[in-house]
Amino acid sequence: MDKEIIFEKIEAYLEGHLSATDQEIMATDPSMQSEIKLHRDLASALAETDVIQLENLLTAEGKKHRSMPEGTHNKNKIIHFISKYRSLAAGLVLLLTAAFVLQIWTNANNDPFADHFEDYPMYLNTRSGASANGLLAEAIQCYGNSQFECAFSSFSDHLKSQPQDFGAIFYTAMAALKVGKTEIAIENFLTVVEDGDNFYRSPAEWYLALAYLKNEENAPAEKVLNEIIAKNSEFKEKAIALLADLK
Amino acid sequence: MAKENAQYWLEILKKGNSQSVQQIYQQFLPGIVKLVTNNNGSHDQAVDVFQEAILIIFKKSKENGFRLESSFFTYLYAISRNLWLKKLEKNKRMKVTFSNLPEPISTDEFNIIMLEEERYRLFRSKFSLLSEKCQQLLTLFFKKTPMTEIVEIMGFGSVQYAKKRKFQCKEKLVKLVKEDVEFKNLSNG
Repeated sequence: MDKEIIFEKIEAYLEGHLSATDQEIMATDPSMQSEIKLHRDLASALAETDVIQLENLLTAEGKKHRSMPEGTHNKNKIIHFISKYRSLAAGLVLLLTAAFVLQIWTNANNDPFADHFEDYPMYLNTRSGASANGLLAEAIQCYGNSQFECAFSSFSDHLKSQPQDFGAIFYTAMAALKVGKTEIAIENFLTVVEDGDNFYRSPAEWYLALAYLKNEENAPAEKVLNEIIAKNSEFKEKAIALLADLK
Repeated sequence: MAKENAQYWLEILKKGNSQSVQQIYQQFLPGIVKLVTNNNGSHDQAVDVFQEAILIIFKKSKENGFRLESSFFTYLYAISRNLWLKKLEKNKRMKVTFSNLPEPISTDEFNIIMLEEERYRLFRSKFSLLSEKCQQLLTLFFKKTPMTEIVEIMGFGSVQYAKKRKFQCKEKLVKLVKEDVEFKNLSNG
């Protein structure tokens, strides 16, 4: 059974929303017991926001009361070492500095989203969609001029009257991604992907994975990338390269 | 007198702000530090035990009919002592017999509370690894906020999308929990 369906079933069971027969089946199915317990405990633990808040306060206050700030022990040892072996220490400092600079350089260049994101060409024109209108033309023009706030706003307005225009949904997502509205981008890419029957499905999958990465959600990003690879999409090579970088 | 004292500190604890937490630390931490450091523990381990004990008392105090028959410190000391014994037992694989448990808690109940608290702490630590959006969404969901309200609060476009995101966030959380070795130990324990 699909994991999403299992989750929904467990949640419905815990809420008592299943039929009497299904409630009984769930309650007596030995394979489901540990999953049900986990979901029940997660809900109990994480609904206690007052406990979470108190724990955060205790942790914050606790830091002031610990014997030595973290790392102090190590710092003292380093100072002792330096005074004992000055020349060796000087060499070590040089080495560490070089390593530090290298680390910064590596980190600065280690942004999978930035490394793999490329603009997607504009394939829409004013004849696209069931009925071209001024808003769509404006959106296309804004997008072409890299005015993504304007493009996002015009595409969104256009979609109010043409909610099934998957091209516009796709470019709304692209514009949203450009202006940092990552959640909205994900939502729109998912809409295009889930429709499954439009020209923009493959690029939407690819950019969905990138949007997840931008949102620091690596697990769903990797899942989408693996799907792209499995179905031999035109973005397969890009997906393989990105997955390799992530690993 | 002890009851009045206990009630006073329980009220302070329930305020749940940084000032009240500070007061509790100042008043009671030294006693717990002494307890742990006199029994092969470090100062920092004492702070950990203190935090866990305060959380347990806070959770117990929310139960219906909870009453403290002893002073707040006696209760805190007894919980801390048993928490520390349990940690020693775990690290040194030695059998420990609990004693001097505070009035409203039996040994069996204490074991259940301990196990539950360890599981819950693990859940909370994994939860904190999720993105801010995921945390916000799941908190609303676990607090049984209707999906239509979640859509509004989170600024999502539809209930269907909210459900999808909820599933993805929860799936990630479940995965993080299941991958933790401690979770397997706690599940088997």
